[in-house]
Amino acid sequence: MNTYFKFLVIAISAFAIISCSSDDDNPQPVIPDGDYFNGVLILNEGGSAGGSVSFLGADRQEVVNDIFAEANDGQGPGLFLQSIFFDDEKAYIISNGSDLISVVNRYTFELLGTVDSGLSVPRYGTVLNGKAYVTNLVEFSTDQDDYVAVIDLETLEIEETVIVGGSAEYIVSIFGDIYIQNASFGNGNTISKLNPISNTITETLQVGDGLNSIQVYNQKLYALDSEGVKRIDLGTFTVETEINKPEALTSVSNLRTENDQFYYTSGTAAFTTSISSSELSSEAIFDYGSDSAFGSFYGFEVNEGQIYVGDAGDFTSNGSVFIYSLEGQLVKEFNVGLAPNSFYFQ
Amino acid sequence: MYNLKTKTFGIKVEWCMKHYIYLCLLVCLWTSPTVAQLDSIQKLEEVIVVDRQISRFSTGQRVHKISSSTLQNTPGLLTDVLGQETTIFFKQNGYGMVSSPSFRGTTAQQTAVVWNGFNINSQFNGQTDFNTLLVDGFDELSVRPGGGSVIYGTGAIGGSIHLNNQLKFDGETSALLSARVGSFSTFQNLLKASTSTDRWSLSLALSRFSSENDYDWPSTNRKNINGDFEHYNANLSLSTKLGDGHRLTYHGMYFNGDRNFSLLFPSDSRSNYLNEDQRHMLEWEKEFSNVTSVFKMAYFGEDFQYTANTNNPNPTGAGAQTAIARYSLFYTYNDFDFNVLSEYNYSTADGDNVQADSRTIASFALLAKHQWKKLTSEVSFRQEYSNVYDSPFLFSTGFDYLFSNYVEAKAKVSKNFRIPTFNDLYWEGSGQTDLQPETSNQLESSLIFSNAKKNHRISLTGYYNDINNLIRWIPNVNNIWEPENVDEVETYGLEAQLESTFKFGEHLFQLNSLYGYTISENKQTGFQLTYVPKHKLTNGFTYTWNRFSVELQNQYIGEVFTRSNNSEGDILEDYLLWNSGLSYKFPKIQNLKLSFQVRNITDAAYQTVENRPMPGRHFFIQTLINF
Repeated sequence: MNTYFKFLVIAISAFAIISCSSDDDNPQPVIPDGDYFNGVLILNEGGSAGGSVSFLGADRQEVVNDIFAEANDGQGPGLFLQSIFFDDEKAYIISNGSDLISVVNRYTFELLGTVDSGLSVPRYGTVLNGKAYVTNLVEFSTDQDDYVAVIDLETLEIEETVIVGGSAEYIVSIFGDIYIQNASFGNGNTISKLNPISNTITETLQVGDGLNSIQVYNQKLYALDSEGVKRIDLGTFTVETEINKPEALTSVSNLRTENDQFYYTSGTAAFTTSISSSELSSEAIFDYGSDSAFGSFYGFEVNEGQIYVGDAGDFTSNGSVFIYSLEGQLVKEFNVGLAPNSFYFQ
Repeated sequence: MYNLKTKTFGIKVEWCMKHYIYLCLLVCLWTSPTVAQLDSIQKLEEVIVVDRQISRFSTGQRVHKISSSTLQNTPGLLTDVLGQETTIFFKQNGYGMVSSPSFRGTTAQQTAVVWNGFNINSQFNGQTDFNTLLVDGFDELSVRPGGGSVIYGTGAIGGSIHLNNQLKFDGETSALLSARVGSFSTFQNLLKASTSTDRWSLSLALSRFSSENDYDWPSTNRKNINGDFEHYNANLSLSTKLGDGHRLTYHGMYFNGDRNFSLLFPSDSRSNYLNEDQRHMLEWEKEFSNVTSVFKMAYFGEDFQYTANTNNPNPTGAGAQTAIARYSLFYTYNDFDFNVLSEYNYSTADGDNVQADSRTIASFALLAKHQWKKLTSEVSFRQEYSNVYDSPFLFSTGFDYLFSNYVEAKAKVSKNFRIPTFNDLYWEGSGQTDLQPETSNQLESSLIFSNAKKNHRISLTGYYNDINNLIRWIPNVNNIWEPENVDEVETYGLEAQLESTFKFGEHLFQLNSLYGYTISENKQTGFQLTYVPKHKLTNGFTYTWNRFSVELQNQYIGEVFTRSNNSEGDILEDYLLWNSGLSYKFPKIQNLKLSFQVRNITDAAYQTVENRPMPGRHFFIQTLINF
């Protein structure tokens, strides 16, 4: 018995020594702890019972639903989840129905803190110099009360609020400045620039009516409106090129950029056009024929040669996620939570 | 702001507590004999109920009566009473919050609530919130499963709930005072009084129900937040015999509710809902030898105000008024019983989100019943005409057959409907004026077995219900939710009831068991509708010995789907609830009844709506005195 025990101790020590030395000799890349290290986060807006987060594994073979509640004793991240923004290993999940931002470790989804006061229908956020800038819609009946909440990420307190003077929707930061899309639900035609030092709106640029989405790509800002795509130079904050929308396309939404290509949607079809074209293509990559009027392309993203589609169906049953190749072949389909509206890759 | 609010609540609770203690003292000290009853006045057994059709024209259907003492002994609202006494399933957004019924697997708009013969479902959403009705002041509550649109109009598809006031001309004066206090600072009081001569009759009831409703959410470390409410209800009934067979009767009710809606997440904005309903009806009856002529006029007002965020109040509200004139003629000829009904209904609504508009409906109905030996048969028809939509021709045919003293059979076939509401028609930016009414073709049959003494009874009912043109709100391309006649639903199921009474000397045992098996399928997809449990079982057992009584109840609700595609993981689990009560009547103190009640004895964690936990174990003490 005694010999056996000694043998065990020796074996364990030996193993420990070997492992240690091996670590010392070949430093491995640091793999953070957490089940959700590598894969896709899918945000499900949810219905009156609250939203949820799903996770699609690195091999894109299996989806795990409800990872937030799983990691936090069944508690959810709030009502009507709008979007997630990130800062290093932290993810900030915005709930517009609960005026709440849940801060989690993006790899474990363990809850680290919340921003639970001073928000009013929060929509999107971005991080710059240790501060988060989050747009708030406030009353639906007017856009004059919309503001950006400036949040200290150490204390999770709101330091200041900046009235935008128009709708406050999607928000991005680049070159030390903040840009805000002043359009939501198909209304609005301007983009505001916020100076994060003075916390004031310094300039507002007019684009076309029905501004739908803005994207930062290759140091430029691209805006999709009812006329097409506009390329905005950030130095002068002016429109430098216009890529027109042909008559054949009725309405266009969801501008995304990857590998020098634009991707966008119209109805239940997805399209692509070279970033250097002078007109948007009206030839669909695929039409996925969703029978959901408002829930089609509820989520849309392009990542590493694949197109991710979130379909909300009838909003009373769980939504679906479809992955398409850039050639328009359906690669995979998954059932996720209620009303999947966005994808985040990690 | 928040602190101030908590403080005011604190004061309110304290005030209520004092109030309650005074009330108890008052009740306990009242030991002097009441006014001696006047035996000289002739005792007439006559009880006036203005809803005459429910007892005369329900052939082929079973009508289940719930006594006023059950209404007074059950803590809470209409949801609480019917949850135990019927197979109806209620979706509640937490205790006391919005409560929607599913009767025989139908939608919330397909249960009609009928007050003294008039349909009182909301003009806005077509349903009744069963947590906005305080029922302890009513004299009789009847549940009539199955179609009833020929008599009661829109929404009587799954079934109808009847709230009735009674008036007597027996020369007696009586009063009842009840006070209940319970967990979560819950207070419920009732004062009911009636008096009559052989020509006059008066009855009134006042009730109040309030609760902080801050129960712990079982198996979490959270409380129910912002779920407090305070409701008032008043009923007044008056009748006078004018001689020569003429009688005038008035019934009125007033409800005032102030409710906050409980929060899903503590940071949600705190909302508040105020509603005020008033209903009045005046009836003039004239009896001839075999003809009764009844002319009624009614006025209903419903108003609500909703504040989405009480910290930044910007309330929105709406109000609707309805005026009704109805003429009925009842005619009895040999074994025949006829009723001709004509009605004119004018309603108008206006609100922050509803365009001001009005609707006129004229309707005609003919009901005929015939009794031949052991067979009772009934045929009835109704046609409505409206300025807004096309109304289908409605009919119903029912049979009752007494095989013997022990076995009775019933059968009924009917066509019923649910009309588009003011929200469906006129909601700003969404309402659709081309909507059609929902229609339902249904059949049911029952077998009832009882013993000779009628103290044991088993009833079995099977039904089938085919519902078309169901209105559902769906988001269009611009995310505007619009109503459409899209769904087709088929519901069928089985209801079983066992009622038993045993008496051994002074020991009385009563048992009432109900079981409902419900299938409610969307015909296009084949899926069970969300929030419709396939199984519901309730049992009530009462043991009474002299002045002492013990009650034990349970309720089992099977699992429900929360997603329309019946996805496996998305269900609310089944649950079993136990309630119990103990009471004693003190003979020397005006028959003061003291009761102690425990609800959800096993502290079961359950939800009737996803993520809306219901309360765990809680307690009530009630004093009730008759004088």
